[in-house]
Amino acid sequence: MNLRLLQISDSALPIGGYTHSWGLEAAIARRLVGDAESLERFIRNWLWHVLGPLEGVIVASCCRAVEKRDWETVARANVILTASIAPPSIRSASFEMGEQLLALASTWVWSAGGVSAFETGTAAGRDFRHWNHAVVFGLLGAIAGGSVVETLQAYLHQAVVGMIGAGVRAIPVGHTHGQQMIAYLHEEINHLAATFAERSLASAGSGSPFYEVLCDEQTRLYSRLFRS
Amino acid sequence: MGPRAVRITAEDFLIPAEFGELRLAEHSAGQIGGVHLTLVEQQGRTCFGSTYQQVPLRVLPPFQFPGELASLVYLLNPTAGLLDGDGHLVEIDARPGSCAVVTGQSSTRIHPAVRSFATQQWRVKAAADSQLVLLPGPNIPFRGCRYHQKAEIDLDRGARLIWGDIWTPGRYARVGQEAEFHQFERIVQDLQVRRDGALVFRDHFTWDGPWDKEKACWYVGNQLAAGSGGLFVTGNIELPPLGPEGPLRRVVLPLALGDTLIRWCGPVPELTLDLVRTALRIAARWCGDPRAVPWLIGSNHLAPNHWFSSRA
Repeated sequence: MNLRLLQISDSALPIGGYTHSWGLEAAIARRLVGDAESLERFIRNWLWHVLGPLEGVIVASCCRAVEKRDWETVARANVILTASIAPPSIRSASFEMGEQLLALASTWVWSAGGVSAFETGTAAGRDFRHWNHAVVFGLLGAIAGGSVVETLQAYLHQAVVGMIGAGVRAIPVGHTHGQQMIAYLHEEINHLAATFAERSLASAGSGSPFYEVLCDEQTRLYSRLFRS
Repeated sequence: MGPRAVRITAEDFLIPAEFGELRLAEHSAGQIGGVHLTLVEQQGRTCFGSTYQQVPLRVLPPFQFPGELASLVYLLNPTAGLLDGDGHLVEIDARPGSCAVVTGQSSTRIHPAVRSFATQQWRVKAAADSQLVLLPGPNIPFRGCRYHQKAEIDLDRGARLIWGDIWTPGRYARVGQEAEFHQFERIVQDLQVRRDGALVFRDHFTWDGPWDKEKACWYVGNQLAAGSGGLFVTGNIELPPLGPEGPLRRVVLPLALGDTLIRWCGPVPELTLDLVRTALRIAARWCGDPRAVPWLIGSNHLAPNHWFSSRA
């Protein structure tokens, strides 16, 4: 078992992921999500139509590039992701989580050397504020010795756990139901990882207009549990 | 981007990985074509510099209406739309001081694929101090179509540009059982905007159809005939919110490098009207006057029978 991958995908990692709901809160306000069944449906759609084809492909591309010390591709992936995430709330969450994960990893015994090489290899590497979470996750997955597919599985798993955690607090859904949902989604995560690990960086992109509407509506809800 | 000296051929089009081994029409007459335009400013009017056109695309000489800052550049496609294997290439080089709205004459009907796919590809270069509104027109993806829309836009610092996309659910207005909602096979969109060589916006997606009710709800919202639209606008834009009681959803999304994406979901007629009005209002404000009359639709020079010409 790769304990390093477990560490970077730990939901208790203090990088702020638990403060975001990724549009879920607006979906609840619109009554599109209101119980365990509809939450699971929302997550499956989010994985297949938003997270997998964009951030998932970025994670895989960065992991593959870091294995080859191809820092130019890592930097290009970061530029592509920044230009592709339109909702400001999602983009700033991505930057904040990337910055904090990179800062943490620069102090860990197993990752500090790799982060240092990344800082040296990329022109903007020393400024942690400009790196998206998916890019940093791919970087650390490679430093952790995870394969591309394993790293992507870990990324998708932590995303699912985060979204279900948000659902448990916001809907609410019981913790038992939440854990059952994670178990249901294991096979889906494996399928997603196998699908998106093979895609080229040029193909990264989602294209869910209504999800962008939800993410924007989240920022204007009268009352919110999560950051916007 | 200099004047085009040779015919447009299938080799001029980029085939995305999502369409694998598919190829455009082998016999290109009437299927592979396009337009190359250089827009230049002459004595306060925007005219064509070098021009090249190749069937099936045609371009009319620019219309310059009294009192209008922008010229209207009208692209024509005399065929039934984009058929299997068709490739349309539009190259625009907007020189300093040029000011134009470039649009098509109607919605783009994308016919069912048999062995290949259809594509429309735009390459746009906008110089500093140019003002360009590009509204290709609503896309109507027919049942079973495969379509690739690609736009590469290179801006010099100081260029002002609006790009508008409208994706309808298909032939949704047909009667009864004949109506089509999201019955396409595959749509690949690749829009990239660069300023001084740096990527500022990217909208890349692969939509695999047909969509069932759940998928359509995810992508465009839970209305039967909903479509989606987007405007990329240079610079920071603020718009009053649409009322929550209407069927249309519009959000203004500030992008990372100071530009704006405005996104719509909802019924196509309302969406088209609001998207066009928004685009032409924003363009009018480029002169610095927030109360400026919208380009083209603020006057009586155009009859309200063009897809974009309902009066403001």
